[in-house]
Amino acid sequence: MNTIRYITIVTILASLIASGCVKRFDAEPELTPIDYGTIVDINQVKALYNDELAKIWYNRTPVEITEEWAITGIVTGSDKTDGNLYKEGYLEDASAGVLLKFAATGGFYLGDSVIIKMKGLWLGDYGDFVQIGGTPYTDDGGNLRISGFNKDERMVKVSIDNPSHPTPATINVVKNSSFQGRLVTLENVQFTQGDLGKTYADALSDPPAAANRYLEDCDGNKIIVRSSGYSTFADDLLPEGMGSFTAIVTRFNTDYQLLIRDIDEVQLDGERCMIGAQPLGDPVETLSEDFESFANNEEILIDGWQNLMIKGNRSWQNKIFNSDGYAQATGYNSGLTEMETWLITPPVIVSAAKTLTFRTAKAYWEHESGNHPFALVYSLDYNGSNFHSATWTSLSATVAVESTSDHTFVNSGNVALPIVTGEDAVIAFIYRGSGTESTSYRIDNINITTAK
Amino acid sequence: MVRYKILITFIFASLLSFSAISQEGNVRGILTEKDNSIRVEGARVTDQSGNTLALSGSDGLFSFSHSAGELTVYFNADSYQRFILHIQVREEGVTDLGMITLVRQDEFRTDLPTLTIADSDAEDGMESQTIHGLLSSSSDIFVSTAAYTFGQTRFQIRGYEPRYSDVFINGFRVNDAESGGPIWSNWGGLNDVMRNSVVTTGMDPDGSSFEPVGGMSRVITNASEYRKGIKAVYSLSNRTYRNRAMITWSTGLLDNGWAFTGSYSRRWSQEGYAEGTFYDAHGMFLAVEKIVNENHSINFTALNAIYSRGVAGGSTQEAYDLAGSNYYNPYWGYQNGGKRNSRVRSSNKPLITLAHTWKISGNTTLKSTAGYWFGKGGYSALNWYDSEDPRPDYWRKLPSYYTDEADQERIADSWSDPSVSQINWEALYTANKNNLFSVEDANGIPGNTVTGLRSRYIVEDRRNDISQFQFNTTLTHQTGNFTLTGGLFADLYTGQNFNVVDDLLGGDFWVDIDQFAERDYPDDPDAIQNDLNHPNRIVKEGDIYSHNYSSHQNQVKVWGLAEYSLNRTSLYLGVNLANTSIWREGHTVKGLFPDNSYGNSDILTLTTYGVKAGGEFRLTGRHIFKANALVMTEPPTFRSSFLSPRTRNSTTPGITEEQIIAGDLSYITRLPFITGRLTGYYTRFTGLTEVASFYHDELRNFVNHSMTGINKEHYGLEYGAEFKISSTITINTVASLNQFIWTKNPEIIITQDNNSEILSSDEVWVKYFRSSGSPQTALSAGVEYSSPNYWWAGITGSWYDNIYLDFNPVSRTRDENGYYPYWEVMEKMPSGFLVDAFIGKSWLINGVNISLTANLSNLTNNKKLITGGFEQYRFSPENPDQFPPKYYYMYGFNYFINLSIRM
Repeated sequence: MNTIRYITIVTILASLIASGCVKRFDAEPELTPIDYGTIVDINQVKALYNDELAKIWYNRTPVEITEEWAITGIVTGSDKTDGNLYKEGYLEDASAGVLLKFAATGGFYLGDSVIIKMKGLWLGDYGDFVQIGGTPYTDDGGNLRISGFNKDERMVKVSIDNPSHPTPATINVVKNSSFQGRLVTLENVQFTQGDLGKTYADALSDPPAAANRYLEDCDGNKIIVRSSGYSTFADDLLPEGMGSFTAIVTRFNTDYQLLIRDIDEVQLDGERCMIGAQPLGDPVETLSEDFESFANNEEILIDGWQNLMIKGNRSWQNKIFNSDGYAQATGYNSGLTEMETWLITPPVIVSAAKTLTFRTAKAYWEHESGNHPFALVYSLDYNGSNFHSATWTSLSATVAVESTSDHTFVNSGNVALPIVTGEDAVIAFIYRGSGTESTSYRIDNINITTAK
Repeated sequence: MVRYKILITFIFASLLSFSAISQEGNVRGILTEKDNSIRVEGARVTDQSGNTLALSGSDGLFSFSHSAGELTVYFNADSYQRFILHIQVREEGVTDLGMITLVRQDEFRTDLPTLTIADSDAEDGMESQTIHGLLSSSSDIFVSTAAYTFGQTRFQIRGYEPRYSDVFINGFRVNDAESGGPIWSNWGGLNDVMRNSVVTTGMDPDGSSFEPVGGMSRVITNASEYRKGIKAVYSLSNRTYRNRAMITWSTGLLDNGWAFTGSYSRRWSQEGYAEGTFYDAHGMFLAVEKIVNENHSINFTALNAIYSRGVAGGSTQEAYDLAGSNYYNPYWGYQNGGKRNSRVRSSNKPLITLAHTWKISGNTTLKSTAGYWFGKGGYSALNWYDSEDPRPDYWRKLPSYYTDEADQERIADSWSDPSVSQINWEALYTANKNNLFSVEDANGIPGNTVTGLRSRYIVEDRRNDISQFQFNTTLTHQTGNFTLTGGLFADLYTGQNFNVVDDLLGGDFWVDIDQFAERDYPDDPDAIQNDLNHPNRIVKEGDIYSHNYSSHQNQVKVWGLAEYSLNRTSLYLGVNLANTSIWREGHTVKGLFPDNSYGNSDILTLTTYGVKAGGEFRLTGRHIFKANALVMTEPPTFRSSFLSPRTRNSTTPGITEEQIIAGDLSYITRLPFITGRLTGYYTRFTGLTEVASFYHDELRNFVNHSMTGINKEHYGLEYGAEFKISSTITINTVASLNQFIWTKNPEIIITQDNNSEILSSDEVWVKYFRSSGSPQTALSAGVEYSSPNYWWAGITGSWYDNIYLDFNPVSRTRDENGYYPYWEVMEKMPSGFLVDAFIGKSWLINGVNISLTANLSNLTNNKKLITGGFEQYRFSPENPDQFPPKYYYMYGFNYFINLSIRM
């Protein structure tokens, strides 16, 4: 065979061989747009579950959404931010907010404006809190639960970075079914005194655990703030101030709860307000209180006076013994690690010399040596709400001590109030104790008169 | 006086005949096929060391000179079975061997690729391959059966990992530098031109290198040694590819001393045996040789196998049952009406070598090879950010995730829809098209906000590109009964490892951050960066992201071999000394490890040595005894030297060289009607290291584990015998009985990938566990018929047992109370039986040779044989059945039909 014949044959064969073709199918496919149906209010969708909600919880079954409906709104809760949510999100429109349960995290960010197709999803509840999710399944306890749904196949993102518009509200107002799932902002709220010093949740256990903390307004109304042990702020100490708090309203059985969706929206850095703090009365020249006008065991509530729980949840109580009424504070049976309560008089004008007398008694002394359950102070700049920033100065008086017999009243002697022209002073009777240092302490017959 | 002269002459002549200096005699003969009508041209006549003594001419005539005495001559010719002759070379006159009949080679063995590409699902996606095709052309019945028959079940001779054998092409060592083993797809499709090879499977020295314990294969690609002419082959199959076409052309040795050989092949299929596995490969080869003069010849060889192929992944039995097939492949899904595979292996690595042979004198030869190997290798995969796991067999998507039967049924029923049972590509595009997103401070520029479709799902390509220089030279000197060989080997390798975005799947960009770091350190914008010098990098198709590092491995080796041969005995002693340097060079600063990721790591320098000795005792030419012993150390591979090379420069703690002690004894018989071998062997490995990464479900993070101080013992019996019942019928019996045992509890250190915190340091309770990777017992028996009318047929039955899976070491460490009793025992796979057959015929028409062969494997369609698999790294002590092992099943009936035309 000569070379040319060789080359020809080889070239022909080689080109035949090279022509075998393998298709790769990686061109971008044509996507069918999601046909989400008619947009309706979130309220309307949630209403489909009303009949079930009326039943007792163990008789309820999830409701399938068969209508060709869709909901739209702004994402108010996302599991991407701060880790407080997991495989769930919150969507809100003008009518309501709702909890959505997803099969996986991701793709659903705060500020997204989305449309979600409802048909084929299911409505259910957990602890009476309505949620929208996927096909129900039976968990190992035999309970029917809503699974998470695949959001990618039924959600359309309309725009991003939309600001959210939380509804301004108060603690009492949000405890209503119309607020469930909505984003609200509460003003002038603070964590309760009893919760200060704790963290948002329990990040250190294995596995991390969620926790309930209490938020209160200045009227003493309280609501639970529940945070996940997996959140980024779980191990942070609760802020101690008063201020504004933005969160989503949720519910578990009879408890309404707040869910923090972005820790930066918790801005509690102002001065705390005093719960149960009614306003101080107008300044007086003299005063007299014998605690005879109250019922036994009633919390002391005198017009113009303040009876404050500074630590713990107890204050001065009225007690009657042998027809004598007096104010008593005790840590006994309180379970408190710390108890502190202040009975504060209305302001007394001290331009002229004034004398204070009162009598004290003690019973069942449990305070350790060196610790005394009672203290007496005055303040020239306390105005009824600036408790922490006011200046409190000690006053000395004769008072019941450990060695005094139980139930025996001791006269204070004449306590001279400071003389400051044009000023008035409040006097505070302070009890400090705890569940273990549970001495009972009593005061009676408080009199402030012009000095002679 | 005359009588006296005759006496003197006689004495002198006799003295001469006993003198140490032998005279050279002349040997000649004629090579023919049966009945002498066809002369065999171009056959290589070689001696025991492989040195070519002569080439037969067109009339089959060969002749050469050789020193008088005993000589073993080998006749190697393409398409013919190798023929061995022991002759006595006369010092006077011509030793005429007369007509030597060569028997036609059963071509089915050499044209067939024996590999069924098996891919492991390990996170690092290392390619693991079965025994290699070159061995199937060995004349040793055990070796060729191990490759051709046992190879279907991932059998490895002596259970050795592939990296314990060396492969050379034209003198260039082609083992993959980072994993150590030869990767056969690197020269796939070039079977025709790789035929001329010398293979060993044990410690016996070949004289061309200091072989590792598994032996070596040496492919000779001298252009002049290929059969002159054109050969075209077309094959049809239903294995990993469906069509193959090859063409080889050689000029033979031309009068001007040049020779050219070229080969081009194409293998392709839209879908192989397993669903969704496409195959698209080109192979090319060129050899150019110049015989400068009788002392110098130069051979240039360049080759490349360019391929893309879709991979089939293994899955759990639950997924196989749901899909209704043990060949269910979770890696593909429908797109645009066709099957798109997410895991595609691709390669384009040209190898260029130049070999020089210099006959310095009659008994001294210097052979050298220099070469350069470079190119790209990739393995694609899905990657996802802040999204649901797209894999259809992800454990949370399977019925076993649910406890209620009704739910399990519901999920099982949904698997009839391929968008559930396979990857739902459209859903990935939809998710991306829906993800309008704003990235702040993009590319590290403050205030630079990039808004667009941020892909949540992409296809990435995990690249390993190579650049390797090698120089290899061997000097052989024969003096008296000694053959002394010395060699120098130098190899400089740099691998480039990085990820590239292959397809954004409808999105506009991907952001190069570490999503696991983002979850653990959400307030630390530095920790989440993969490239701290370019934070929040916007990445598009074709861009490098995730990691980018070079793997460096340089080695210099010197070795020597002394062989001493007498009439009946030959002995050898070999030594080697090597110095290897391994280090990582990072090209990006990883946010989590800013001080330990950029630039060069510590350089691991290892000095290793080896000594081997042994010999052969030929009782007669028919009964031969062999013994070999070996003590050597090997450096660890690059892959096991670094804990987490994608993230940092940390080397594996406690890493050592491997030590290997091995010995074997063989009895070989070569009777007229029986040829066979019986071998007993023992090998002990100490100080092995294994490193792996996996996703720990509870920690929701990646975790690395490194096992050091692994000791194994491999020992067993190898038996192979061929019985020539008649001139046409041969019966083969082969048995391989082995034990591959872990003999020590190794140490394991588990580190969190994210912050290199050591999570536990423990002992792995696996003493007396079995190694995976090969059945420990394999037996076969077959009968072959070779008709004088040029057709042949055969059938073989084989039986396999003692197959074990790759076990999870983590579930064998202690917990607070002791260790996990559920996993104390290792699961053994059931034994299996296979039947294979072949049939073929060849014709000679007008000087054109046509042959047609059909190879039919697994005639009984046994689809229950599990050939391998692995325990998942995820495990749950409370619920042990939650994460069952993943299995690979033997293909059912499969065929390979070959038509070849030779002109």
